Amino acid sequence: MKISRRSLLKTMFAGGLLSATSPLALAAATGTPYRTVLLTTSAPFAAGARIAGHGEVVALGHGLPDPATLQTLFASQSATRWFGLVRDDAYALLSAVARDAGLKQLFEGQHRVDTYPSAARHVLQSANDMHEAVALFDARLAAGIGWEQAIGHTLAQLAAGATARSTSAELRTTVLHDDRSSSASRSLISFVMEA
Amino acid sequence: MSKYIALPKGVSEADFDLAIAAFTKILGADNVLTSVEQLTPYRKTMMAVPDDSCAPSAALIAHSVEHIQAIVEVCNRYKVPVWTISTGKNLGYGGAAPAERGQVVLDLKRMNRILEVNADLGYALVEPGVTYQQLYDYIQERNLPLWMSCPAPSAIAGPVGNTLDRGVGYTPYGEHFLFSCGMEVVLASGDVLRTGMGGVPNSNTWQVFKWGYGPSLDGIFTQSNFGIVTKLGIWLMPAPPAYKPFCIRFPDETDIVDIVETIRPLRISMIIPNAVVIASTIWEAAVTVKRSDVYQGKGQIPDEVLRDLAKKNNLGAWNVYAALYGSPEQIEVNWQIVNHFFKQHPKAIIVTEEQERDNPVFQYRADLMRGKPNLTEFGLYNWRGGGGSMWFAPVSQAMGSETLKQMEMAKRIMAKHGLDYVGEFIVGWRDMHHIIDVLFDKTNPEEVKAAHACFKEMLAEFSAAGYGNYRANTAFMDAVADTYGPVQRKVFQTLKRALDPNGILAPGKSGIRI
Repeated sequence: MKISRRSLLKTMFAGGLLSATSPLALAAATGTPYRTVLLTTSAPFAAGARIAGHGEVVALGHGLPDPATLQTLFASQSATRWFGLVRDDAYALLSAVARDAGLKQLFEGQHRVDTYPSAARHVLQSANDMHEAVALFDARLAAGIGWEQAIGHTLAQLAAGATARSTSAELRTTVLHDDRSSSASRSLISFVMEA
Repeated sequence: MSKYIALPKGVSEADFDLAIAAFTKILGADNVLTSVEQLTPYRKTMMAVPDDSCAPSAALIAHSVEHIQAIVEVCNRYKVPVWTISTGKNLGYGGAAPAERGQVVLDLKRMNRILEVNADLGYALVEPGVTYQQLYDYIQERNLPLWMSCPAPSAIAGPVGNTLDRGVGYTPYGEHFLFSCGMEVVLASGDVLRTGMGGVPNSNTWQVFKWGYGPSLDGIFTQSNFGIVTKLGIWLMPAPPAYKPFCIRFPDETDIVDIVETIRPLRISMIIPNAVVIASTIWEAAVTVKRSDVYQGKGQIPDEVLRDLAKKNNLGAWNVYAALYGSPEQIEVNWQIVNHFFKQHPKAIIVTEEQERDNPVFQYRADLMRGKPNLTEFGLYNWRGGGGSMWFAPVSQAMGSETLKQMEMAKRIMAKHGLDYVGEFIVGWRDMHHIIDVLFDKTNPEEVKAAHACFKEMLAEFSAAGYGNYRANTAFMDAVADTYGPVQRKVFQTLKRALDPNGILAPGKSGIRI
């Protein structure tokens, strides 16, 4: 499925959720049936999550995370949802360790901003109750805030469990295109996994 | 609509239901994965093909040889194909995903026992789920005087999978299959074969003498689908009293001729005993630099940008990593020999560990050459970003003119498709593995198309020039098998039909089917 960001759901979320105090605060405040942990190599995301008072934020730092640390993290958590935003190298490692630990993958977003030609792409893959994440991403990006910030806000909202449940068993891939420009090419991956 | 995300080719949903029920009885429900969110981690690849083409129908987590025997019995009954992975970290060659849509992944990650490490004889016997990090930690914790050999992104990968795919490391034991000894294999019939001396009841020579009696079988279980290897013996190197890693940097791409001509006699005579690496600028730079930091234009990164990148990061166009092992006296003698030969090249800059202690690029190479696993090479995935990577791996003679020819061919074809040449040579005794990482942005359909076309063109042009690939990702296995000619394929098929008449074991692996 291909969606132009400008054509979808611009108004649906712009009022309510975006004007809420802070999506990260929402995450902290909303009760969910599982524990939520944010896991990231993105400094702005980690800082934002901490300011908003999100209880558990694991900042993976600038270098590649230590595999043993990830193994310990994943092995010790049950009934936990991991929400993450990381670089390509960290994701290659993290997703492999997560598979070993038996984590389920509910969502993956590959976010790419290029300077030449100037374009942004968001390839989103969702399963089960994460299908709505696509619409949330679209709404955040439509709000005109920075793309990394938009991703962070969306993840926080997902962590708050503020999405509709779905019983769909299909895996959906959606591509959002965006014409925003950036001073540097960037590539980040967002994900939601569940133990 | 099926309740499965994919079905095995030629298997009805009703039959697959029965197979899944049988698998569940053997393994328990927790070890039979069929839901979309459980299987998504098993369908993701870095190849230039849609992940959907590799979607498994299920994944099975086996814990024992008995489990595997029972699983193959069910697979034979319902004609269900299984794609076996040990740790599934063969990222540039396909990862954990099966070769064909609908195959069942048989994941051996829970069979992760180190069964024996013999410090006197220098060997280990391990199961498929054992990782290099696990083996390294085992040796360190017990303070055993042994070094293992591991590939570059190795902490999470394992010796069984790497050896069976004929991967290489960087110590003197770097040719991993050569330094393996004895396998246990579950055949499609359910029989358990122990190769070599393992056939003799109560033998204690299974891990010390390779050949046994009669035909030597171990080779047919590498890069193949004739059985499921459940134990492997590997030789470990006695920890040397002294070790001296070093790097020699050369400024120009054409220097590869001098490099190889100088190294070959040192390598063949074992003055330099380990698998030497000759890495290109980008391979080195990617540890700390992203492409967009130095170049934002379209097409292959220009040579002048590469030269500037090398200069600013203290890199060569080629960066040679090698090491000396032995007593301090032996090392001193060999160091003088190495210096004597390389100092004949005025452009060569020789650096040692003492000079490069704070350089992360040198340090990860030095660690690999002493068999300490790390994942630093994952930095390559940040170079371009977007999660696309396919390793193109032709073999070359260890002759300078050959390596220059291969490098120029690869660079020209990659430029045509707008991709950067990211390559390294790993020097065997008489051969070189030329490893080229075809890096691309998998979120960009145009780059995916370009990467696929580039790989295909390189394969065609290299094979036309007489260069075969020693390894292939799962999307190109048939194409690579074709380059080795019809007779080899026919022999492999004959063996397959004899050992696995229903074709249940990894159909398509290395292009082999019934």
